[in-house]
Amino acid sequence: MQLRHVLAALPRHKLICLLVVVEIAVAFAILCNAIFVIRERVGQMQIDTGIAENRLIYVHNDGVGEESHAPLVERNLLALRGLAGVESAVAMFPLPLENTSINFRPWLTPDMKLRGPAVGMFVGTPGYLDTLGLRIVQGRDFNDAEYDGMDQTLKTLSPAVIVTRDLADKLWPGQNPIGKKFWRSPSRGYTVVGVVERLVRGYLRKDFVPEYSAMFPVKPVSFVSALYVMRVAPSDRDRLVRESSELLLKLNPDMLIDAKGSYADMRADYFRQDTSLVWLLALVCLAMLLVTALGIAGLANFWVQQRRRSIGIRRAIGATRGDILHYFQTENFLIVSFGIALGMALAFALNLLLMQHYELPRLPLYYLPVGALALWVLGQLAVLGPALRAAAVPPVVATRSA
Amino acid sequence: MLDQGAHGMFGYYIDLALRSFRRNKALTALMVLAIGLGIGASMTTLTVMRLLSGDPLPERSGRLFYPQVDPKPAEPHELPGQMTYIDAMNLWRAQRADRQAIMVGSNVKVKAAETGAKPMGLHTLATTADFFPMFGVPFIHGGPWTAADDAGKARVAVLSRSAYERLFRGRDGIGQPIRLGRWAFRVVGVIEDWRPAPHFYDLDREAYGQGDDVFIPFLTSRDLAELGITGYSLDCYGNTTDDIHLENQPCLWLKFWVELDSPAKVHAYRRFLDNYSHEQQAQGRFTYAGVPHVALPGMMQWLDQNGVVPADARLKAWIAFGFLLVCLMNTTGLLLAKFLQRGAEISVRRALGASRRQVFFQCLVEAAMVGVAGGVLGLVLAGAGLWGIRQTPADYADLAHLDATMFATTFVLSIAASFVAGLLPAWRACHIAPAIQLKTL
Repeated sequence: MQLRHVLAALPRHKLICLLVVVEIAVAFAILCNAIFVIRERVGQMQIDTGIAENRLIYVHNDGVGEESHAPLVERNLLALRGLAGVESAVAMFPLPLENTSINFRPWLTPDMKLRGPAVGMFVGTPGYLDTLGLRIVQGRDFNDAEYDGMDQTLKTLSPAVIVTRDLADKLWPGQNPIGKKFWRSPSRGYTVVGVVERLVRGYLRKDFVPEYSAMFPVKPVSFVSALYVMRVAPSDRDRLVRESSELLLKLNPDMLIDAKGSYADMRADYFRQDTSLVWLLALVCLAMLLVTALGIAGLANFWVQQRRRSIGIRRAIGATRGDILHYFQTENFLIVSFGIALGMALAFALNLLLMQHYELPRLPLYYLPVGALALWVLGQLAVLGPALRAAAVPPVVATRSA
Repeated sequence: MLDQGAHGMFGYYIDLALRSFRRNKALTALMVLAIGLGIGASMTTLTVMRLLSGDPLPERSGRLFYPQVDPKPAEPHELPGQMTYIDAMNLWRAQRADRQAIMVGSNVKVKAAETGAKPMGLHTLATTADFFPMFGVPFIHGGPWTAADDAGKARVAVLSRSAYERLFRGRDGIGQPIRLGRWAFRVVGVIEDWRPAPHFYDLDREAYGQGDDVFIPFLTSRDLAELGITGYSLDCYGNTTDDIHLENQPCLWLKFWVELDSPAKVHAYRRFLDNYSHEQQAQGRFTYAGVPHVALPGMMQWLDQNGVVPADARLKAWIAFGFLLVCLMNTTGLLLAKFLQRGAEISVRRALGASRRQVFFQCLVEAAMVGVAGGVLGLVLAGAGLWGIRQTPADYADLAHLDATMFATTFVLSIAASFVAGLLPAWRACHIAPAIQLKTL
């Protein structure tokens, strides 16, 4: 009964109804896609690096060093280990998500015919896997003799390498990776001695798999002189960041320390751009919902004003306050529903277009009912005020002229 | 005559509009708020999106190109994104483009000349003289070095404003020395802190990070190879014997940009690259056979190929535009509703002798006033929004400023939407015979 009245009255405001329907459709499409982007980003920001994040601190100097400085690295490490609270200290390159990374593509045969995917290179001084808190799940850690130098193109001299499980599965699916070899040049072959569960590379790129990492052993050389990493108790982090950088400056008056802090800070720093984008998108969604709600409330208000007399007549011939209230709520529900229907098509079209051109994943289907629910609730909240005002119109209005 | 009347009535229309606003204070405020919020939020978003996916040099990007040639062995691979020393020098010396520059950066230890000064690690770019005019880098003191300085391996440097301030602390530094590593360089010019976003000319740096601070001639940096300026992404494809003196190593490490001022020149340059590759194939330096592997992407194409315009940046741009659309439709709807209610009032005015044209004009004045008020509020909100963005720690935060063109566009759009909303009911109102409307009162 009610529905019929509402439907009969709708064509009287064709143009405005159409506008609101389209507005809600666009708002719906945007809402779904924006939340989708937000969730993708947040998912990326929660990536597990595989290391003992809350127990690590670092000091980074500007790293412009000469080979003659290499022995100083050994001395600096010894001094850092002497600080109360430092469980271990190593020099290495890079930390996961440090925003720098050296990548290489391993050859799987010595004749350089078959090549693997891009792999992130990690190098470090003795004990660096332990310091990072990496767990060997197969094979063994490097032994002392394997920590050796590097050639001029930053390839380690020792033939030992440890890879992540994901990389092992990719390069040698279904096989035991221990003892398998890959090459970085015809003369530089590497044999896998161990596998760690997980380690994420220095920076993330869409075309790189984050978990494809390979760890190489080096003794202190100038290349690793820039980044000192220490494992400490979480409660000691702030104190030891301060003390270790002071100690390094005292030992090396010329050293320029350009970054230091806890690993947690470094990670937050890596994602700060994403964080601010997520906030921006979330605020845009909020603003958009607010604007839409204001629009709906405003229009409903106009309509209530416009129909004061007919509301009065309906009340006079027996409609209850509830009937009037429901009338406006139904009307809003219908308009929003049309908008949502159109919006679903729009959201999917937008997503398809983006998928086709920019390799974006498909919008999950459950976004549609959730988005629809959000807009229905929003519409009902927005119309409540005007609808209540309409319900309060006394029947006596019918007897007055407009 | 009519026009005169219309203009004479302008004040009256404003008065009428104000009366109509006053009659409906809450609703008018709501409309202005909806427009303002829409403009403010969409402008804030669009500004950030433009920073994140935009053109770093809008006036020049159409003339800038990134030549690519392929010195690597025949196995299948992508066309290299950097050049060897030999190719870069050959192309640079050929001078076939309107302007051309080699560039390669590194972090270098830089000190003020006086003894005891503390070293700073500064992003240093080794490049050639055309770099500055080609990219339109703004100088605040002195100027760039010359082609003769390039050829003569002169030890001269151009500094960014902030590096200049840190090194000279307010003293006049033009002509004065600074130290890079062990060597003294004479400062010849200071540029405004220049941070193209993204950092298009060397994408191996953080794409939205800081700019370069020190600029020195490329050949000088080769002369002083121990400075270690070998780029952020050294890519060697064969066996190497030296990682500092890269002149004869099979390594890709240099960026080479050219400026080509007309499509004909672009075409000619592409042919030149073909010929160059054929020549190198004939000499046996390029070992692949057949069609030359060359490319000459324009700047925006190059950025796109490198994924610096991330897929979801486009999605975000869509989102920002969609938001603007929602706001404009919202405004239109509200104004439409308001005007459609006014049939009676308009009929009275018509019956009392107002012409169609005058009624029309009256509606437009009222619509425009709402549009302008919303626009002004939007300006304030966008200013606040961008101020908020500048307080966040994002890399691009301090670049977030109101863009005049963007503001003008949005403002014009909002007023246009109000006009459209005003036009329709006005047109409808002035085509209804006054008598019929009056009867219904």
